[in-house]
Amino acid sequence: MLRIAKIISVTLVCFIFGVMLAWQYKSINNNSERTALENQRMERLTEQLVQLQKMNNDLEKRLAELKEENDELLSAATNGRDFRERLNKELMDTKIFAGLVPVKGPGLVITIDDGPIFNVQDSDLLLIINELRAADAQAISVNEERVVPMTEFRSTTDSYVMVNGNRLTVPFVIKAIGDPEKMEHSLKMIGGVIDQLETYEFKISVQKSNDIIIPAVRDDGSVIRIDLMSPVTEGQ
Amino acid sequence: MNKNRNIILFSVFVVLGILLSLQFRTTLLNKLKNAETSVNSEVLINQIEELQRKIQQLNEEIELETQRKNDIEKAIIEQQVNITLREQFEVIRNERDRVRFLAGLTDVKGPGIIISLDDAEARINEDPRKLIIHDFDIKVILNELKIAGAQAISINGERLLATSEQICAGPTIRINKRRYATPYVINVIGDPESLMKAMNNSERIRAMERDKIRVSIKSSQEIVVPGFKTGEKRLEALISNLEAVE
Repeated sequence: MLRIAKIISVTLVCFIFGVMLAWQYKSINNNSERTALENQRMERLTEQLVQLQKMNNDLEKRLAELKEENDELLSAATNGRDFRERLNKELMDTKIFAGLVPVKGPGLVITIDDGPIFNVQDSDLLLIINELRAADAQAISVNEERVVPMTEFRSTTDSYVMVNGNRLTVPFVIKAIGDPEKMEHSLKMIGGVIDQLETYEFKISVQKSNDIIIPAVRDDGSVIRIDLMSPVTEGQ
Repeated sequence: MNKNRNIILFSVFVVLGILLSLQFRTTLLNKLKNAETSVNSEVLINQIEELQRKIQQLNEEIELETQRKNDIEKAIIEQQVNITLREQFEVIRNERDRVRFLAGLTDVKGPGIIISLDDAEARINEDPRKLIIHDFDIKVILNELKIAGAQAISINGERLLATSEQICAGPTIRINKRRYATPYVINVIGDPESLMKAMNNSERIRAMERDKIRVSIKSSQEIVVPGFKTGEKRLEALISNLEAVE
């Protein structure tokens, strides 16, 4: 009788012991996972906070600048020549921004040609251009077609790509004005755009240059179309 | 024999005791730590929300100041007594405003379509990469809209420019260096019929719908596409590397 009781009690103790061991193990595992997740969240939040702080500071600076400029404009109101110069500069800057004048600057020239099996498609050009944009390119052209906001890329047959309503053929020469180092790094990152495109065996070259010239967009209403748009008047 | 068993039992109990206290301690410690981090993240979230409010307010003030500039310009032109000079001012100013309109710096309206995209609801046993919208999807759709004759496009109110990147970073998309979260709302001005047709024929839209991405498209006679806001930057900063060639 006593023997059986002893066996039972030992079994019971061992059982509890086993359960506890498993529980302990699991909870430690669980906890480390949770802390890792929590840490990740905190890191993201901190990063966001830092970005917002920077944005906040930049906006404050810009607002102060604008106010100062406006006060200056008010005080210089009597000087007609200054005012005309100011307007002319703004007009020129806006034209440059809109792509309405040819521009010159440092940047990259990327040449891409068909591989032995695959042809260069619209999506390949878009891939490169999106990467250049992400690396702060300020002006881009493909085979002398200035890229504007509504520029499309469309492969029609295997032999050409439509850009701004024009047929372009290989080799495609993409020019981008911006920080040459930054753009080159983005393109040539390991596993980046160039690596991806080289798997198709395209012939690609990337060259830095200090004076790239990018032509203006045609300003005859065929590329920048506005016939369906009207301004939203202020105060509406 | 009996002595041996006692030793075994003794050591089992010792280990059991240690485990019990260890378990107790870690549970307690973790509770404490969790409480601490949640307090910390709450503080962070509060700070973030406050900054976001401030940023919005600053953006509004910048808008107001830009309007003030407009008013000052108008007043200067009206007060100019020299008629030749006044006419010159008007010509340049009108041309500048026309180019601002072409450049996407002003709010515009017209007929078109609105596309809303939202990530699929989480499903078990499904590759999570298939449930979310990728920059690739957006890039292809935007290109298809441009092919169909779009004249102005915005995503979540951010005007698309020649230099607008579409880069996904986690659950957000970056456009014009600014981040936007789902749902993505794409406003497009153009011929609603051809835009609609392009979207109905879009392989990408069909593939997204297959993956249960929530897609809705509707056409409208009056779509508003906001102008690009230079925000914290001067326009000059966006063309700092560009020199006009005459």
